[in-house]
Amino acid sequence: MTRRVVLALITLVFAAAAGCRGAVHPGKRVIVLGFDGLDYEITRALIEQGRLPNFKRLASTGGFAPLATTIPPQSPVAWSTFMTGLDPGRHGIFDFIHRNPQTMVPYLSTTSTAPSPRTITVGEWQFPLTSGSVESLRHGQPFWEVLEARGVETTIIRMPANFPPSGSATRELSGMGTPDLLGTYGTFSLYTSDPYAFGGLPLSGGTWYPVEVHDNVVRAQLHGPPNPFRTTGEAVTADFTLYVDTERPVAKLVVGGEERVLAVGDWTGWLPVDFDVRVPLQGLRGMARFYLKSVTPDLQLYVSPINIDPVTPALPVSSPAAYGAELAAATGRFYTQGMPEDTQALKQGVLSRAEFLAQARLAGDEVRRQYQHVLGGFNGGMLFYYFGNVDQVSHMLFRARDPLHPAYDPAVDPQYADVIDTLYAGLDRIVGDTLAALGGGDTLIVLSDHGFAPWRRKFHLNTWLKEEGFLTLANPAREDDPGFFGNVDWSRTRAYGVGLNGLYINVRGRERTGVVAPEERARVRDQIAARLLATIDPATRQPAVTKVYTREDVYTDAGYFDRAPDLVIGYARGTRASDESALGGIAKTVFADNMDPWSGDHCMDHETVPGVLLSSRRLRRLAPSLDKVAAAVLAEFGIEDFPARASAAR
Amino acid sequence: MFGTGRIKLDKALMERARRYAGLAGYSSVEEFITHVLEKEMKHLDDAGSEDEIKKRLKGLGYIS
Amino acid sequence: MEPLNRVLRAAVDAALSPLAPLPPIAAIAVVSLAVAVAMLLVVRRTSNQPAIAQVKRQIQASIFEIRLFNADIRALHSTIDVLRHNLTYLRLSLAPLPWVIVPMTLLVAHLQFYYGYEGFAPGQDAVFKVRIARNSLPPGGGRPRVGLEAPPGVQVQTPQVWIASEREAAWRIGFSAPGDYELRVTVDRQTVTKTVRVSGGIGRRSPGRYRAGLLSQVLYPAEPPMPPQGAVDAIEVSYPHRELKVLGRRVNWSTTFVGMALLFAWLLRSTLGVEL
Repeated sequence: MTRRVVLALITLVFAAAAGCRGAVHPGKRVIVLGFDGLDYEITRALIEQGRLPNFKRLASTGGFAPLATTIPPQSPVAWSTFMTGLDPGRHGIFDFIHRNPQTMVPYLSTTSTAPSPRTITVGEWQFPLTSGSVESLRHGQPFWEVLEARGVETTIIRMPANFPPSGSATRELSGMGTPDLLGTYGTFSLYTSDPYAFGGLPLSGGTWYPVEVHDNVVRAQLHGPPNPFRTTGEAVTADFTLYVDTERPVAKLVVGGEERVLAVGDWTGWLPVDFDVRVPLQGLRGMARFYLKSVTPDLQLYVSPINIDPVTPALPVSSPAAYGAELAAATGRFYTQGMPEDTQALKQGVLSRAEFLAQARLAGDEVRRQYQHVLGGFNGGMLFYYFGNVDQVSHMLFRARDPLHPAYDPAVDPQYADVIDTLYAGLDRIVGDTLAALGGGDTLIVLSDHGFAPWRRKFHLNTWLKEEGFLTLANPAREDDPGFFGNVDWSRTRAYGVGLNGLYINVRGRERTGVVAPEERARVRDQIAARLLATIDPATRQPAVTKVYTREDVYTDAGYFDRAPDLVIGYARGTRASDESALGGIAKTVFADNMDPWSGDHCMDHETVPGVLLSSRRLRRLAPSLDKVAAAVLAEFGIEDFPARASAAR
Repeated sequence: MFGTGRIKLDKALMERARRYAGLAGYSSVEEFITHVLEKEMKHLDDAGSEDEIKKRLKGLGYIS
Repeated sequence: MEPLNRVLRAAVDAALSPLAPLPPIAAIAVVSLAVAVAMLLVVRRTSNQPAIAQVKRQIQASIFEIRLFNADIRALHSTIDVLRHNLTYLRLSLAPLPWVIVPMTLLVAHLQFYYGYEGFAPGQDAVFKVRIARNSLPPGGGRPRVGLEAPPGVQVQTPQVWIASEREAAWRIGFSAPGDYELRVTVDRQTVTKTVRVSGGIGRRSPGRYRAGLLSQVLYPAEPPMPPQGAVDAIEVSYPHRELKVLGRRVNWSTTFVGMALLFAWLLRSTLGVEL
């Protein structure tokens, strides 16, 4: 907070020094639409096919070009660079996942949460005297602070890596990085009467609960976060009842004071969920959507991750705090969870592809409806609005357009081949609506943070390091790898992989278990880089890696190198780090076919997955790469000094 | 060893602890060992929240 | 009871229809102002106004004594006097209660159905529930034959859920056009109807239609009751509850109504020459 105040003051001083006090270009309106994962090649092809008439209009009036993305091309990294104009060395987000060099545990890079530091404890009860905190780990001055300091109103909706909201825009709603009520990126639930579901094994990204149907009635509980008033860590719960009619596949759901009748295949809207914290006058509210998958032979009820309710938010999702409620009042409650499309439920086989698409459509429709409302009320200044639907669906459906994909199923996939193109056409309609709302002096900028590529081959980086002699197993005979480096002998490990593009040297004095002397770090790093570039995938006979960057080469500032990987790996188009490797797992082989539904990706060589940039008029300032776009936005308002040098000050 | 509890330490280790305590400017070997233990336990406390951190990671579609 | 309810419905409809274009908070302000004036007039007529004025003076005098002799035994006597006068004041103040309690209960019950519920909008859906009379269930606990017919503008979106433990048949119904609709429920060969209002404005909305009975008719006067010997105990449709935003807080209409009525009564007491 203090830091933000200082930054705002610095901005004011700069503005005053430049003689620019007060509003610049009053009445000017700039709308920036952020389409996550919009691929340059796909966009170009669809424009040529005439399927994106409004994109074509932009291309002819303002321009259409590939937009160089960040190293690595991951959304939190890329959007942080977009909003600050800084590279990761200065904003501090290097990957979806960072690692704690003291515990070697990976963690999500954009936010950290801390419970209340002051509590009164009585037996198993505790009473927080101050509230817990959530802190954004992204640094640097977002461009809207400069606009606000010059009197330009800004509205920033769903900007990734902006949770909790910065508080410096006139209106903000947080986006990617916003957790569900459990503090995760999204944990779904499945209630089933089949006690042997999923082979009795736990699911990743969700939980299944066996339930019993007595006289056609199911009484069960939704599971929330740990009770903040208990020292025992027990989760809060909320009861619900499902009355099942097995003669006709239909059921009545009762949650709190709400009732809904669901036929099989029906989704509810958002239902408030009040968790019992067992303390009078205290409560914890979330909200969830329910989906009745089946009634017979087994009951299956899917429950969305419990989202933060924008009407009574348990954590800050908007600024001002009431803005989320205002949006909900206008167009209904909405997913506050940063990435709402339930890709995990599809990966785990809890939702089918058709069910996933229905869920993704619900999430996308909420965002579109809300955009129409926000656009209707936009009177001046700068509006940024983010759409993530194409990115998440592209991840899951990419193989339907890729007959070369190892998991391509010619019997099923062709019927989904057009889904992504249809979503692009939906974005084109949004561009059309926006153009219709623009005045003569206004500017529309459309950008994406990266493109897309097929993900056919998995590269188990930590296994490769083991094979190359840089990583040693504690117990080589162990059959089941526990992940999270659970079978690594750190005293004989010189390098390890964490995240989707990161490789770290196990440096003495930096890593708690470090063995490589600091003066040896560069030599080991370069040795690994050379060997990575020489690695050939035996199945494709192509290189697995086309670029390897040292952080010193590609980041201009060492400001946050304490959390930066030593090497950023640019995998060849079609190859990506495996899920297992990203979290410190060691598989049996270095390469594997990617048979997951998650079949498209972009965490590869950044040159192979550029984003797009389109605008409704020639921009006053060129923006060939993502880090230059914010400066181009500010230039539309006549502001040229961004990022200010002061913004990198620590 | 420290009044309320007794811990057996290897003689050589005790000697090294005594030497490092002196080098690092601790007033006594007890103070040094207390400090080292507290530092180590802080790491373990951090590791105690590992399960929570892992659970959070599992929701990220990219990796699980 | 129903003839009285019919007259009251007509009277409330006539009185409130001019307020329909106003925002709910303004309409409630007008109603609470009218109620405050009426209450003041009733209080002036039915209470012992000189006695109330006198006992209030006595309370003030006793409080003054307490301040004056606060270190004296007389302060104790005065404290006892304050309590005694307060009880007298309470007795005098409650005198109008028998005159107002019945009309107020009836009025609030009617107003609840005007201001207590949001209307449905086209595109929304709701749960429609029919509770079957115990003696109309098939012998042996089987499923009764319950049918639901909806007019154009309302769609029955799901098959019927039969919940034996609640004797309840439920459906989801959806709305495609604004209007006042009547849905027909058939149990065996008996047919009963239920109104459903799809509109955003202020108007009478009935979330339940019940079998005839004194209590149900006092509490749910918004719609005529169903025959006492019929096959259906109740028909309910889940109108969402309306919340008003007052000074940034969401509150129930009745809290706003009572608060405003008290405020208006306090402000107008001297104008109308009423001792409260």
